[in-house]
Amino acid sequence: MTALFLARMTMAFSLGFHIIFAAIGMTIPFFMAISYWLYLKKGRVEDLALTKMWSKGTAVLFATGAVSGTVLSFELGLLWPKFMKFAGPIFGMPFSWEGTAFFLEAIAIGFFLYGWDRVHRWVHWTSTLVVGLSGFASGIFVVSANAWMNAPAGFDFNGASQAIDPVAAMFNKAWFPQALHMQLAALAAVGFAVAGVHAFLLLKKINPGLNLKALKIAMSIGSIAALILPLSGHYSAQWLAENQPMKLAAMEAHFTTSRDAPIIIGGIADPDTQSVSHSIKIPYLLSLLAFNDPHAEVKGLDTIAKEDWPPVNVTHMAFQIMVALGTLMALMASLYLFFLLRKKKIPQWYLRLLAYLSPIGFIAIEAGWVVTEVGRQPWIIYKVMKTKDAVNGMAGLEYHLILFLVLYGVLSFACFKLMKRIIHDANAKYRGGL
Amino acid sequence: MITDLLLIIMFVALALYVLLGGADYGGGIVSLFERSNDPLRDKERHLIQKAMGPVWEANHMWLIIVVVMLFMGFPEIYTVASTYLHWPLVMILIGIVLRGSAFTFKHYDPEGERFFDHYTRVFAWSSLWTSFWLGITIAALNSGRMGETRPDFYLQYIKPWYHPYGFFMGLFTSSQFAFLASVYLIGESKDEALISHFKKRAHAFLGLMVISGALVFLASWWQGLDLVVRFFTNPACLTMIFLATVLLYPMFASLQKKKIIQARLLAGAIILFIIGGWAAMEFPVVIHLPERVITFYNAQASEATLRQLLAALLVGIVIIFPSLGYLFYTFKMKDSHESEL
Repeated sequence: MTALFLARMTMAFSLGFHIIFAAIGMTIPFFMAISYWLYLKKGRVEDLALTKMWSKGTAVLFATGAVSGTVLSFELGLLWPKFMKFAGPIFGMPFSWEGTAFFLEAIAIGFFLYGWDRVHRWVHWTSTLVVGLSGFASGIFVVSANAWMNAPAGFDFNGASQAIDPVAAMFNKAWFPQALHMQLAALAAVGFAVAGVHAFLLLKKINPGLNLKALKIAMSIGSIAALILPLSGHYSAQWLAENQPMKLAAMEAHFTTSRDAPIIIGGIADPDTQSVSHSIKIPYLLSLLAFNDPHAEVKGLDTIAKEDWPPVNVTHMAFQIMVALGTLMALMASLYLFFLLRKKKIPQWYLRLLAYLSPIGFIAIEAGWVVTEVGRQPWIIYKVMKTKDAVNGMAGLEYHLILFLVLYGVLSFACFKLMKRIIHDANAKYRGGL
Repeated sequence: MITDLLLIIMFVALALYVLLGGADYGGGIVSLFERSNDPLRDKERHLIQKAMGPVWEANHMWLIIVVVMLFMGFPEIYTVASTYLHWPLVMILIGIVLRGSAFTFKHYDPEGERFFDHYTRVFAWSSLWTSFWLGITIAALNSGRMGETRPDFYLQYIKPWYHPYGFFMGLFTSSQFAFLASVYLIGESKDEALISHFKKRAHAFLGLMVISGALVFLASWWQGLDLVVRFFTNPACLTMIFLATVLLYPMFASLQKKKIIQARLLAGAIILFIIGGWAAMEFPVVIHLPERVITFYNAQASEATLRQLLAALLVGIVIIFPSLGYLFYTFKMKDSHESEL
């Protein structure tokens, strides 16, 4: 196991862990803002109880997100010091803005969680909104930093980074498609996950009024996001066709530059024979989707040297998983909106499906991040710095990885058990009239 | 000029981290010294919980601010420290993760009482752990042992921090935090028994601070570092240490007279002078390498970056300070009954 492999695994694991909690932290506050607003306007105790229930879970998940975020800010340097030495001054700006946004969020959540009777009710409600908005903003900023790695800007490519323009770096070409897609993905994933939990409780006939309300709030937001996601995904893919064609080629297992390029569904790619077996190919579709022209030329991996190819199977499979799950979510979303708009009662089979499918949004997020990160390889900064030139070459990185695997494993277990207790207790107390 | 402004901001951020986040760590360390047969134990625990609750997330943000300032504005410091101090930094991270989660989980667990001892133990030990490794990291920076180029794991990644000087610095840092926490906690309670309990603690941790501080210098001298000379021949350092010492009397007097805010400000000032003295000792040198020193000035990023960093920080300050002030005012100063979920 090389240092490079270990560093990659560690970073992937740390990021993959953190993003779940970060996604929750930057979206659930909006759900709470809605239920809390309903309470303040209409006075129904159910809405207050729901807000408080959600806030307990949020507090626990937010704290886990905060500490795992601290880990990442250190690990950037611990694992990739050569990258940070070069990139720090250039893309530090979105991190500074993220810092401010997150700081504000931390302050606002302190207010929200502890200030129920300390400040005026509408001031307290505003704190909920501030948590959401600042969290959302910090997500956009940090994605902008990642976008810079895909579309580096704001420095002199040819030599020492003297002519640095941190503003240009922050508002690089990739930040908008990436931020748009990620923020929607967070809303969809969290919407579905929260709705799934409440669907589960509804199936058990626990506090039906409360849990249905909860499901509706979560699912309404999640569904709208899930229906826009295929569009933002398409927009991202078209961006890739222009700006990172090799990432697109890896995603689509598209080896040979060609016109009338097909979409390859499923399949196992063989980089040696440059073919894909066991797949379904839909002709013209890749050219059409990438360039709005079924005869357009789509660049294949053959455009670049083989040693510079991203790992094709990992990228392709992750992409397929993400699209499959995203499609499934869009279908579930359409059904939900159908039930809602036609004022039909949500059938049991749908609730069951929703409960089972609760994690798919998060799985899709992880798959999507694999696509964008693995698809960028071998570059850490696209066409500027290779990942192997950025890594900390020290021995012993396996201990770092093992320590964090154990730590996060224990934490996840404790967190999961705690969430179960919180959900159970909150529902039991509500039933008991508290 | 821009660099100097940034350095002032960084020092303020670091100071706030010590005075606020450090006190949070101190709260955990203080928990370690409670005896299970002490009737005040539960009251003490709940007081620490209540004091830290609304502010702990915000208090620990200062560290992130310092880290971001370093990697954007003074990248070589960040990368060199991240390289040679990989393991102390990993230890700090483990402590931060365990601490934050134990504290929050404890608070929101409906069966909190059943698991209370476990959570408290994790919280308390990880607070001490993190404080310790923070001290070790600080000591390593000027230990002169960083920057080994020969590919030897021990020489490159262990030696920089594995020495008595670092150990005593860890002890010193921990006792500072515990001292701060004891003083602050006095102001959080109206219970006479608790107040006198924390007063005794404050005295004890102050004593520990003085002893470990002396040992820091002793160990550094024993290791061949001329810190004693550097510190005690530097007029800025001497002034700060003098001020820190001199303020002890009015601080304890304020505690006696129940002038809580005054006591806190004075305790904070004392700690501030101590860390100020340390920073002044070698300013602007941060890291000693075999063939050169890294200073803030030779590690700084380009002008454009520094300007943008400063602009971002100024906007941040305008947003954060009033909000943070409002948070502290609401939970520390407004007289109101306790209210939370």
